[in-house]
Amino acid sequence: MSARSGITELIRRLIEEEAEDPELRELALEILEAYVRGGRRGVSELVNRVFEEVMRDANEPGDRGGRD
Amino acid sequence: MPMNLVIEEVEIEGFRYVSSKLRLKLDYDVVLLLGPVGSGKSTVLSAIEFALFGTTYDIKSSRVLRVDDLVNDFSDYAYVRVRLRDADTGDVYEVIRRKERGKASRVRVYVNGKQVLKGASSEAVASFIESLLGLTLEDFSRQAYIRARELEALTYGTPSQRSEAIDRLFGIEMLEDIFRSVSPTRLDDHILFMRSQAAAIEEQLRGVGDASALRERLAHVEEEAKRLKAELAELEAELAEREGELKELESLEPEYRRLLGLKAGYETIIRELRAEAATLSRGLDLSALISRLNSLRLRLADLLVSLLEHGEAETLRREEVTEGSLAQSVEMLEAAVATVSRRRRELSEELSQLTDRLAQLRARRDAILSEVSATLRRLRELEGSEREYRDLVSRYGEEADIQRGLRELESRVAELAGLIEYERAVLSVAREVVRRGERRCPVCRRELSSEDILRVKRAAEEVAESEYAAYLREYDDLRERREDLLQALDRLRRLREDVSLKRGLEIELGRLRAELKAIEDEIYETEAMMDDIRLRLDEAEGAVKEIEDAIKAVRDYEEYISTMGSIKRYESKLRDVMLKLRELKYDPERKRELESLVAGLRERAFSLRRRLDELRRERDELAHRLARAEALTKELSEVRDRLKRLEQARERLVRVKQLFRDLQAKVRAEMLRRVVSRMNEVFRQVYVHPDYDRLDIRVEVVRARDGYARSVYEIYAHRTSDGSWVPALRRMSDGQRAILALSFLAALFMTTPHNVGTMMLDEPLPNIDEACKEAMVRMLSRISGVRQIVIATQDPRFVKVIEEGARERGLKGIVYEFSHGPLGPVVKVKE
Repeated sequence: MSARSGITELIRRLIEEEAEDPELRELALEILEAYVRGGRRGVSELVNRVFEEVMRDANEPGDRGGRD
Repeated sequence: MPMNLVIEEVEIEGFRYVSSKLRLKLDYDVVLLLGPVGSGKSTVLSAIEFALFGTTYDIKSSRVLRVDDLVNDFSDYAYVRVRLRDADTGDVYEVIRRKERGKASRVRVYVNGKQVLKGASSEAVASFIESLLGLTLEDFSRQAYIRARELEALTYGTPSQRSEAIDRLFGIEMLEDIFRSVSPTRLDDHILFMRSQAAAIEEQLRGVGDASALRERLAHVEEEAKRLKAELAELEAELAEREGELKELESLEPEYRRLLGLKAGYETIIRELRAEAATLSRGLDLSALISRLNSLRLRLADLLVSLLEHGEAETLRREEVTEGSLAQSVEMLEAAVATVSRRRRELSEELSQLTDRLAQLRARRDAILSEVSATLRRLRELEGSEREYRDLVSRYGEEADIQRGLRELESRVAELAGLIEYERAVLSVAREVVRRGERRCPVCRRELSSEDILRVKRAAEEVAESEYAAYLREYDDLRERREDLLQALDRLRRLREDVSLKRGLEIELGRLRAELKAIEDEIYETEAMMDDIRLRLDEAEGAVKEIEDAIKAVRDYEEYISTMGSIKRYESKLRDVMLKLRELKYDPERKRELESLVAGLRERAFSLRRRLDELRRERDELAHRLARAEALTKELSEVRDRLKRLEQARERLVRVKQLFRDLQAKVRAEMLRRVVSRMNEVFRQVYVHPDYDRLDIRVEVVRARDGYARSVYEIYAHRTSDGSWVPALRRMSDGQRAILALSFLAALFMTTPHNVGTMMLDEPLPNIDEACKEAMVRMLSRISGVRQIVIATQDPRFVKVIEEGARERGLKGIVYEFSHGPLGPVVKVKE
């Protein structure tokens, strides 16, 4: 195991410990994985994807009185 | 891990500054690469990095440099061979890497002289080397290959730069990378946009109004409209009834107005007729009128006689005017008046002709009088001529007498002229003879004597004095007398014409006087006739006027009778009209009442309709606004919902960012926990002075301007003088800080597990004193796991340090002195 993978593992473990909100924890882990896979660009792509999903969700009829 | 690999040898060709082959034996405890700037020292270190990893950390972390830039400008390829030796096992590993320009590098690996991984992929080879070293390129560049800039970042950078540098050395820079890469900018932009959209909708909604208030107002408007409609229906029913009644009355109105018109007309006619009858009856006396008519009848008969209308005059005398024959008598009188009038016209015409004739006669009389006057004036002028004529006749006789006297005078004058001519010739001859002295007679050509001549001369003079003079005098008298007679004759002739003219004028004057008398007689007669006619005309006119007045009185009487009849007729018609008016049952007062009532009802209906229209418009507008408000409310709700989702997403990103910052602080603390004690060990070995004895690096959390909490590394040194911890980088000198940094890096090298036993230092510690340098080398050589130190430096004092180390502690060292050569570094060995 390289030093970097050790660090990554340490961060992952800390995320599991520190993030009490499951949604937040899941997102943080996703971001970490994205960084491990694609560096900054990977994170940016993930954030963009999150943005697109949010926009898609926002433009879809919501539970509280969307368009009929 | 064992940290057992040391570098035995490196061979370089065509790499960066090194063009031709350069082989350096590095199998020593300490290797010093000494030389000036750009002499190739760092090239050797980079070549080792390149051989092991196929690139360098500089290239990987830089966007400017490329792997091709590693190939020497005068070579087509770069070649580096590195030989490693396991100090424990004695195994030798050789990595040979060749990079042609524009192509991927090729690598061969030999273990104890035998090539391994032959035909394997470059990834597999890279993985093998990383496993062999226990380090990735990043780890190698952080822990085994220490560059001056890492040391500088640790000791001279801002807290952020220092933190980034330490993170990089720890290999935990990913946390800051992740923090920075998780950017909510797009969400922020969209949230801003959505907020502005929501604000715009809210603004529109404020303009349109609240939906519930609009709904309430709409219901109120509809209720009022319903009430007004019912009221209008009742009103319209009543209006229809009243309008029907009014219409019926209105249908009678033309007849009513016609009858009223008739009534008024009849009343006016009757009033006027009565007034007329009153006028006609004023001073009316029938018997007196009949008497007057009879008187006028007789007068008219006389007048007709005077106008030579005897037949009609006789009729008039015979027919007496009575009350019963009043109309016939008037006709008869009118016929007589017509006759008189006709005769008057004839007389007037005659009078006019006479007037014209009289004017002509007067004009002629005036002309004759004018002629008589002129003739008398001319006669008076001619009377003088007649007197002169008679005087001349008495003096010279009649014209025949004068002419006879003239003829006699003429005869004598002719005779005297001959005599005078003869005498003049004689005298001339005589004088010529005397003048010339002629001796002969010029007539008879006889010889003349002097006496003759003298005598001639005397004779001539005598003639001249007597006869000739007498002749001449008589001649002149006769001529004068002749002239007198001629003048008298001429005057006599003229006067005779005047006398003749006077005789003619006298005759003409007589004729004019006769004509004047005749004209005056005629004028007298004409004037008499005209006076007679005028007299008769005046008489006729007076009679006619009186007759006409009488006839008018008769007519007035007749008209009075007729007017009284008319009054009776119109009174009868008026009674009929009054009866019809009563039967018509038309009540104007009722009509006015109805009109007023209908107008009031119409006005009220109009007002109700207008109010209903207003309510309808208001209802439509309210419905429109309500629909708009509901649509906007719905839209606003959707926008807010979207905004909420975006804000939630943003909040999630913010929280996750902060999470990574929190993690960063924890990881930093964890990494420091591993390193700080080792760092202090190194520091105490290297730093030989007594003022500071310990170091500490703490993670301190600060609130950044972007709102996130972030941690920074703060380095403290324990000051021995007062036992306090002071901020090391603000209190220590450059050299002290360099030692601090090197202590940190050495501790990192020691605490990180890997197989590399070599530390490569590129220009380390430029500002430390010799004691510290020596201590540093000593320390490095004593660090457990560091089996080999390679230092690239410009500082020649390191040579002394190495020499002393070799001498005192038995370290094996070598110094390669680098200098600039034409095609690359020139290297000398100093063992």
